[in-house]
Amino acid sequence: MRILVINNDGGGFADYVEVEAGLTVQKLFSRHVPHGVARDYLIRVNRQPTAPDQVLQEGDRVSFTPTKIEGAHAA
Amino acid sequence: MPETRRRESIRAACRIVAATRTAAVEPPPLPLAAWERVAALAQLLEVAQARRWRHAHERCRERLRRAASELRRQLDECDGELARRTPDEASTLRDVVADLDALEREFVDVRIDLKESLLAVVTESIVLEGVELGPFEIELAWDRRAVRSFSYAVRALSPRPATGDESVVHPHVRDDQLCEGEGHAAIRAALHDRRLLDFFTIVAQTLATYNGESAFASLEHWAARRCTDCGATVDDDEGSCCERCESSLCGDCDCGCSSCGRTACSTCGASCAACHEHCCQSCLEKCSHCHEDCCERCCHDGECSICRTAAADEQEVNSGEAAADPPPTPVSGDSANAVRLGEAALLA
Repeated sequence: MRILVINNDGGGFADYVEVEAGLTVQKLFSRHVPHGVARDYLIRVNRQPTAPDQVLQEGDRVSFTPTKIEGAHAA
Repeated sequence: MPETRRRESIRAACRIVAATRTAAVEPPPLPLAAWERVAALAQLLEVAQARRWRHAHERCRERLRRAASELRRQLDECDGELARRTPDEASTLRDVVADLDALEREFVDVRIDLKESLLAVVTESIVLEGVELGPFEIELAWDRRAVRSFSYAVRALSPRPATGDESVVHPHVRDDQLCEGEGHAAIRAALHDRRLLDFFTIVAQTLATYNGESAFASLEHWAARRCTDCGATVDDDEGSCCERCESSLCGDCDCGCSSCGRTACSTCGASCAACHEHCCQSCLEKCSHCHEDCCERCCHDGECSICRTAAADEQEVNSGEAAADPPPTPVSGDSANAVRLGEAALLA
């Protein structure tokens, strides 16, 4: 099935990806943010807060946004 | 959501999509200026090397390295923009409407101004390491005439600027501009794809994060006490407090009441109109004649020394005028005798 994955960490990846049926939010997170910890991210499915064990559906929009984003001015 | 608000959201979404459609197909600008700078510095380096100017060579090498690093950054940005999804894949009208609906749930307040082409959200009060900076408004403007269709500003709604710089209302915000740091690429990507919810969320999370190593002003500039009278920073080991309102005073503004010695700020004290000494409010009295505040030393029986002197002068003038045409009055008593004795002595 096809879902939209948005990773607002770093470069801001956003694209449609093919995933297997029955995939949970937690597993998708581990796949796209391998070194991240879920509690350090705002995880939304279809723009709503979600539980880690929620099973994804065809056409879902999943976003991962870090809770800590360091601002900095140009040196 | 009320029907009128819903209609306003849909109207705003239509305008946003229409305004950003043209810009989405524009190719990213190539970093030609950065490349020209690298080439010019490389030439300078060659000259310095050929003439064996060691100091100039070292400086040119450092400048060339910085210019090359900047060129690499701009090329990465260009590459990133080319790699992004095509305009057709950017958020649709339905997506933008859904984002606007979600903003209502995510933020304290959402403001849509169709006339000014503005969409703004209000964050919760931002607290960084115990320092409260208040709520911020993130204002996104769309304009079909602009080269870059979106622009945004970040404003403090209850500004509490850093000590010594009124333009810095957050460690990473100066003159309403956020220094995006780690969020730069994600913000650009979100705006490019018209992902408004993501854009506002990333900016809000950047505001909620403190990076002490690269801030316009460190949080110490908020924690520091500020002199109530002159606004200067007051270090913990210097200055004092007004004994009436307990506001901080720096060493220069810390002056005690000339009557009772207690420290009073300029709001809780004033200068005596007669002697100009600083006094606290309790030691000042209003003169019944001129209604000016005067200290206890200058004010007697409700009359200040200036008014007393003026009254005495006036009396003297009046008595002088009277003496010019004196009526023949009998003089008696010791004081009168003393004058006569004095006159006698002068005459002798």
